[in-house]
Amino acid sequence: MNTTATSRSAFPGPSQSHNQPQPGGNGSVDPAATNNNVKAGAGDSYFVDAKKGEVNELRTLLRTFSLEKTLTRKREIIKKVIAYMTLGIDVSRLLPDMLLVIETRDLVIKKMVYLYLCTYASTSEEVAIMCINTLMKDCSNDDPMVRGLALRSLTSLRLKSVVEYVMEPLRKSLDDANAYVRKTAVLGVLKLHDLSHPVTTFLPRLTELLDDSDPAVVSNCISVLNELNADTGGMEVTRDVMLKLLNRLGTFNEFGLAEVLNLLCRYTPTDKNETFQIMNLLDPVLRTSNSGSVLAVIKSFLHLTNTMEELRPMVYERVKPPILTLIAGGGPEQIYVLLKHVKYLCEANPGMFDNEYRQLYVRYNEPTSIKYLKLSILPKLASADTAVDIITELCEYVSENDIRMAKLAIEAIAKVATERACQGTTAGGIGEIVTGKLVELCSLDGGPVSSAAACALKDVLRAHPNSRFSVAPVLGRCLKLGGEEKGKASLVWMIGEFGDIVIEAPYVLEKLVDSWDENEELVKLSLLTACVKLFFKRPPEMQAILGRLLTHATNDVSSQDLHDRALLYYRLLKAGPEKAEKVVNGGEQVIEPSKGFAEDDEEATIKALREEFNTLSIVYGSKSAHFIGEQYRLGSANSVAEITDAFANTSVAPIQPDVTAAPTQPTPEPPQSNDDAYADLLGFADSPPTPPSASVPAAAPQTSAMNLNKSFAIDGGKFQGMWQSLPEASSSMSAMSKNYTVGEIDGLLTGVGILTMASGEMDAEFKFFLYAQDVDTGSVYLLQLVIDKMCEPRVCSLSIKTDTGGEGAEVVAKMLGGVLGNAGM
Amino acid sequence: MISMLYLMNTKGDIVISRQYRDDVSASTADTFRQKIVAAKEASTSAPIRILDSSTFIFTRHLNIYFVAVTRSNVNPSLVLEYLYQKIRVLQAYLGEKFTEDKVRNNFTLLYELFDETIDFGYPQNTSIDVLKMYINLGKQRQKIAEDQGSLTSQITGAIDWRREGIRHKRNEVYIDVLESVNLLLSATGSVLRQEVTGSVMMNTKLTGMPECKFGLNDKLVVEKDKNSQHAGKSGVSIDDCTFHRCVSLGRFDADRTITFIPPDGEFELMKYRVTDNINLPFRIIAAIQEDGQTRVSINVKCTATFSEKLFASSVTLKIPVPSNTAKCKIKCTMGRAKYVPEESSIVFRLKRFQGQSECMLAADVTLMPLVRAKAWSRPPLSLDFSVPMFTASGVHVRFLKVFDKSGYTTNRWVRYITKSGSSYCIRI
Repeated sequence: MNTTATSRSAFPGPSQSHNQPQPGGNGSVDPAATNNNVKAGAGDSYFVDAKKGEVNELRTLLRTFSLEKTLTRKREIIKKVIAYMTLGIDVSRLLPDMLLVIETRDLVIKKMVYLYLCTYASTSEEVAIMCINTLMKDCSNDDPMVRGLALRSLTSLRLKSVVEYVMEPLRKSLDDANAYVRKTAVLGVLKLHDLSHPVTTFLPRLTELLDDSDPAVVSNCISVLNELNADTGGMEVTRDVMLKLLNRLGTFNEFGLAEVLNLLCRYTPTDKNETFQIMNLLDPVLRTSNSGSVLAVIKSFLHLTNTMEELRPMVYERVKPPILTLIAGGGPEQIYVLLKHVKYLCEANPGMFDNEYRQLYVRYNEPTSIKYLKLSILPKLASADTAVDIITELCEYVSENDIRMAKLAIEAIAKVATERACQGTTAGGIGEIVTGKLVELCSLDGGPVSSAAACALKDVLRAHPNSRFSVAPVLGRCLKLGGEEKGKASLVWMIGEFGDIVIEAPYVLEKLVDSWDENEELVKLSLLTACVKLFFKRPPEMQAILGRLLTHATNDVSSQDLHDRALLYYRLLKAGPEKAEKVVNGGEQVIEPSKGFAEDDEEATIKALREEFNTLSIVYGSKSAHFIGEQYRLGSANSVAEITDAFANTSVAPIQPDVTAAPTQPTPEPPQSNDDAYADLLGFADSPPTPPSASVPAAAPQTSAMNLNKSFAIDGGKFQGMWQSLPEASSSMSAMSKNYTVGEIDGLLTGVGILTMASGEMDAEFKFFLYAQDVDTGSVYLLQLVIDKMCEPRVCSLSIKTDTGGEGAEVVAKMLGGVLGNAGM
Repeated sequence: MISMLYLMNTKGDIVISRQYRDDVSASTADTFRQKIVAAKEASTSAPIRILDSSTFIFTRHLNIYFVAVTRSNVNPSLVLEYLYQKIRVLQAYLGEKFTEDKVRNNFTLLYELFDETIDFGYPQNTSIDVLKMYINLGKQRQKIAEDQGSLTSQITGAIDWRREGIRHKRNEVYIDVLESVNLLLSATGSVLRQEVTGSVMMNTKLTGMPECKFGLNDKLVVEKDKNSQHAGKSGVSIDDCTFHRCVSLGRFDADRTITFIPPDGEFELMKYRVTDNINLPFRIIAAIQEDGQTRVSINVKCTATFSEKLFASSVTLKIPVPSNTAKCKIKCTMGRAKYVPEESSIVFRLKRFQGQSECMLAADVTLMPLVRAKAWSRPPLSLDFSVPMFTASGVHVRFLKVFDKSGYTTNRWVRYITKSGSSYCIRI
């Protein structure tokens, strides 16, 4: 091309300035000029000396409004009021005076007064009603802009008493010739609905408007219908509607597009051909530089291929480049969101981004939130071929100044060794490399980095016990370097575990035992375990040390747990070393490297999150039910289907609490009450959190299914006696949705009549001894609740004993689960 | 949907706010202030946080946080996209670098923009061109009153990025191809990561509703018509590209031609990404040796690999030194270099760097002895530059054709520039 060639050599003058913002074309408002205008008029004066007493002065000023001759002066007065409002000063007292100036032809003043009205109308309904006439008159103004503005203000007043006046203008506006008015009217319907006013009369018209010639009207219509039908999962999606929308996909702006694509995720095409057609229609959208739209398309693709697993790989392949492009060029916040989605996709579809791992290397000058996120993604990308590269790269990050970054990098290195990359034949090799690196870091300087490396090393060795031989020689030296509590505890644990090959083990531990009081609590705990384990391996060397240790530990009053554990070991050993060994070394526990640790298993979450792709759920990595208040959730059509499915497939009779005793919630019971009732007994995973507005005590009676005696009391001795004599009636484990403190749990449980005998907080867990009595039958229930706080989410295990022979234990467990799971998400 | 939107300064004061729904109260802003702004977490915190069951999605422009609050399970990237566009709109009205004061002084405008871009929590139109037409901004509207009929239809019309009836005396199109190169070299000189992200910026001043056709030396296209006039030339393989809304994507997928009716004025036509066959504009060889505890010797050689007809401007090379540096003796063949203690690095600046030339820098660094010796983390060496009329990917514009009913001729200007991306780093 000619131009290119010439301009390369001699770039002409105008180019110098052509990057400057250009004023709009003829007829459009030049922002720069108007800017100055505002500035000159307004100046800084609005925000100087803004005191409360000035509201009165403002009122006096407002009263002179009608006397002012020039428009600019009039505007100035109103502007001043708005300025005060912006500052957060309450100017609601001026409402009557503001109403007097509402009759104006000047659009600028109109806009400002309407803004004022929308903000303060609710403070004094009776007065505000006086403005209705003007607003209604404006709704039939000749200028569509004024009509739209008036309608928007009228519907935004949030006054119940006004609603009846609004109906008529709203009905007319829905038929307005102008699209701007129509789109405002459509949202107006929703605003009425929000005031709990019935809007069913508008529904037929809204459905018609889905065919409107203007895309903005259509997209607003979809939003409104979705919210009006929130109970049934949103607007009804028919083939007819869907195809019409898809055929004009190109006319929507990004926000409208997102609405349509969301709708598509609730539509099931009739056959394969239709699916392909739809996917072809959507494909071009992947080329837009709007990540909202791109992610929405990806979600649609995932939805459309729900029943066609064979197409999934192609879909993943197709959507990969656009995601990477967006990551390369977006704003940091946007990148964060996209990376969260990448992380999810890597979990849902391991191997998807493996080849692109270099694109996800951490950059030196990125925001920290992105750096940390990338560190959590990189180990997921490691395959047998790339693991070494990724480990080398991660090691680079360890040397950074940011300690947290270094720690996360070390964790990531350990993850590479315990996750997918270590499958098959290469597993040993990678394990060896990782161990080597970690040992190097571990023996570095005894700072936080070394400690983190020690913790990581412990996890890696659990998966790769063969690497212990290269670790054993350095453990003693590392321990001497000192470091953080956790790191030292890990080292001690390893010395105990691999004591047979750590030659100096007894002597290293002896030193710690003899300087007992200088150790931190975690170190003491692992020292206890380590010494006992080592005792079984090398009894002659350890016997004396162990004796001293048990004396120290049982006399140590700083930690209950330590004291109890020492006693336990002591009694075990008293029963005979062979028996004790059986208990302590309860068989090999090597974990399968390719499967990862049990606590990392997230299969179910991944599946659930697919339905919520491209929402906050992916960002938080948790289902929306866990963090979104109930009234904000659209009951999705799919989950309804799931529930009915679950009911149809199960033959186990649901264990239902005595529902007649308490008012039940109007929401359908989640599927927890059928075949998986046992695993999910406490209902933490799927229980709908009560709306945040409901206070905690209010939530209690709703879940109460058995009438418990709140004033029932037993003494400690009796409790202990019963606890030891009664058989266990029920035990269960469950994940908790929220991290409570001891006090909170105590309060919640007391609210339903489950009373606390004793409770305590230890390093790794909370422990509760609870009891309850059924008012009707008089039977007593004893409960032990242990919450493991080291896990994320917390896991609680509950065991119940009762004098009824097991009857009712499930109900109590369910009540307890209901209280802890339901309260105040 | 967005329940509330506010602008907050770095002290945590609300500059201006607009509430769209009743489900959040003004006190949520307090939560954000206490937990994020006051806790000095804003720079390290994730940009999306849930506090008291409200989700805060925020971004920052200079010293102003733009915060959207919601309680429903929104589409986060769409909300961010809205915030970005909001900033863009404000930039168009208040200038590129608008400050808190600017915002405060134009609060009526801000309210208007708040109301027109979102209604009841649902984003409406954020197109600057269209917004300009119905934001009053305290100015008389008479000027545009006459074409009101066409105007309001435009606000929501199908081609919402361009008005009918635009006239220009001279029809001109400026095309800027901007590329930024990201590079990460290991200490041994192997490429760990390289990538070019390019964008084609356009500034159109065209009359009427012209249809434009645009072509790059995209490998797929070039190879297709190899038999014709472009025989022998090889194109650039573009990994992926995205387009402005105005480009008709159907036609791109069919035959990879980029066809569009442009908005008036400046816009970004497309973005692309290239990862293969990148011409790195600079080659750097660095030898940094720590001699004992108190001395570091640095030798850096930097070669410009592009054509000698071109030159790079504002080249800045940052060479890290330990933070306990006492003294630096620096020698360089050209440019200026000095030790900047705040950045713990030697900053080496060259105003102009001719292609095919090379420069050397040698430095002797004396360190202060430390009580506790701590290993130096050896951060990477980084380079900033811009090279006009050069593209690292090799992309160039093959043609731009403008078709309009009136058949006027158009002047087209093309400019290329390659800059260092957010990280052009070499590990040492």
